[in-house]
Amino acid sequence: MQNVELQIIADDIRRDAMKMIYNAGMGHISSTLSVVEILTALYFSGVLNYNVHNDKDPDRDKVVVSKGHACAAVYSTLAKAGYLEEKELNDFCKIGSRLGRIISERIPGVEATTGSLGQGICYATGLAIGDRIRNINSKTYAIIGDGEQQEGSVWEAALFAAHHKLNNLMVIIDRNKMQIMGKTKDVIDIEPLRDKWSSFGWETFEVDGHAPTDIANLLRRINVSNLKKPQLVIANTIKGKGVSFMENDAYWHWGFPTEEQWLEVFKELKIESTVF
Amino acid sequence: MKKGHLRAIENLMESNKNMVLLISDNAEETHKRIKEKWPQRCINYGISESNMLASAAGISESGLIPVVYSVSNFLSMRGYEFIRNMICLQNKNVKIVGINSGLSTGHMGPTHQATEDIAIMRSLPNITLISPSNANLAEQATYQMVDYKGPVYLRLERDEIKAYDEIAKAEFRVGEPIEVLHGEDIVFISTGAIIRESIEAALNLKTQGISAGIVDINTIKPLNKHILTSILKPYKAVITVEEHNVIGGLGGAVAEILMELGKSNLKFKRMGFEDTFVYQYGTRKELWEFYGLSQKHLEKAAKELLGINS
Repeated sequence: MQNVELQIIADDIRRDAMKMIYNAGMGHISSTLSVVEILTALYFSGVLNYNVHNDKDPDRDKVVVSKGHACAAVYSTLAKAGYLEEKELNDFCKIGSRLGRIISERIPGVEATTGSLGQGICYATGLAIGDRIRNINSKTYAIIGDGEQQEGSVWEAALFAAHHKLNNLMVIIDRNKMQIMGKTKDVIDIEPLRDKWSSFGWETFEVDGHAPTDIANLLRRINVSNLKKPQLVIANTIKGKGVSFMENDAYWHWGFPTEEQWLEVFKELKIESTVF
Repeated sequence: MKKGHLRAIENLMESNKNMVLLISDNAEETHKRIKEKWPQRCINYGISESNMLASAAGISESGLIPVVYSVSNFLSMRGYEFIRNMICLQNKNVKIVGINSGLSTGHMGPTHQATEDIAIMRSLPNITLISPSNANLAEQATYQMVDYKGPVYLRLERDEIKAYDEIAKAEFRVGEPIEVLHGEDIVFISTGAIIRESIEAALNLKTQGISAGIVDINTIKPLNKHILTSILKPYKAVITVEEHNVIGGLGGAVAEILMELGKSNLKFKRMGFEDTFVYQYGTRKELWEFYGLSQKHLEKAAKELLGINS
């Protein structure tokens, strides 16, 4: 698929995620917006091998989204992929619903309950080890945040995966360069990020995290390269991507728009109805 | 009692091809042999307990049974949130084996002594907490935990102190307390190797005309309240004894059950560490003496509780 076709899907996911958050009256908006094209590239370009009729299919590729706050984007993606009925998205954060504000493994298609940062990548190493022991030829992808790089356990997992040459593991960093209190470089600087991962023994790559076809092409290229090491992709993204007044403003990690601001969001994203 | 466990683990590696052993730079000869024989199913994580615990949860996803092995404190305390979210919350079939529990490494001081792990681990939903008192029970517990579906924390101590005939050949069943000695006046409820002090105390009290019973709690969670209360029926007084803080440990668990079952008429005392770290160096026997958990302290406490002047 060309960028433009995947982008149509990404735009849809972005709209759905914002509708969920608007209806719920809560959600992590800007980290949801930054991860949309990464998910689109994985699920809708043919890169990922998954079976919506059997989410425990042992041969499936596995996706661990460690930045569990971005679950509105993940749930919208899974609904579009066919794991969930779209109308269930109306129930986001409502009492009795499976869909809460942090991602949960009770949802079909979700590998792990994450959101406590620094745990998803460790879990992913286990999925990769398990597949290796069982001789299952599939891939595990972990999508992790950039603020999350400040957690020590990320680096425990990085050392471990490199040492054991887990080439069936790929980590994608949603590098939106922000966390709740501002720019990552002003909170605890994680740069030079790519050099760090290279020095830990990973094959490293960088891509525009809002160009879904570029992401898909890179992932495809990596997966046929028969690499001996685990792979790290830095997807350079924009926090709050798609809504002009939210882009690169840390306030929207936690902040919630006024009704007036929501009208602006609907206009920019071309949301016509907020009901699924 | 570690020996009993390791013997079982080696046999299980042979007999159960789904078992995967996760180690963390431990110096066990058994592990070295296992690693050589089954390199794919024995994975060394180095010194990184948090990663190892979450990774174990991931390994279990494909139906494999990971057994995670390290020092109790490093697993249960450093790794607590990884155990909580990745293993217990997701109800993964992971077996967590914590070694050197209680005062096993008495000369190493409080950083290496697990004296609060029972309290924190038993508060986790979905987990089964097993704490054997000797090698025989540890060996049986190891076989059973691998067949048992769900998260297990196996709390092991380092060494074998003395195998008492009363429990040396006892049969282990998950969730069942063992009545080691039957008495009429007072009962000691204990877990781990420190049960030997209760046995010595009970035998000595008998010579003084006091009939003391002993209950060995090998499964701290779930604690079978029906078996426990039926065992406790004849007694007027209960003393719990553990190498653990008195807050939240075995004593707390027993007290919760007795109060809820309306047994508040029983005289009751918890013996353990009185909300303190064990900041002394010594052998276990020396430390039991120092912290008031030796045979003579137990005897004295029993008499006081029964209102008998010694």
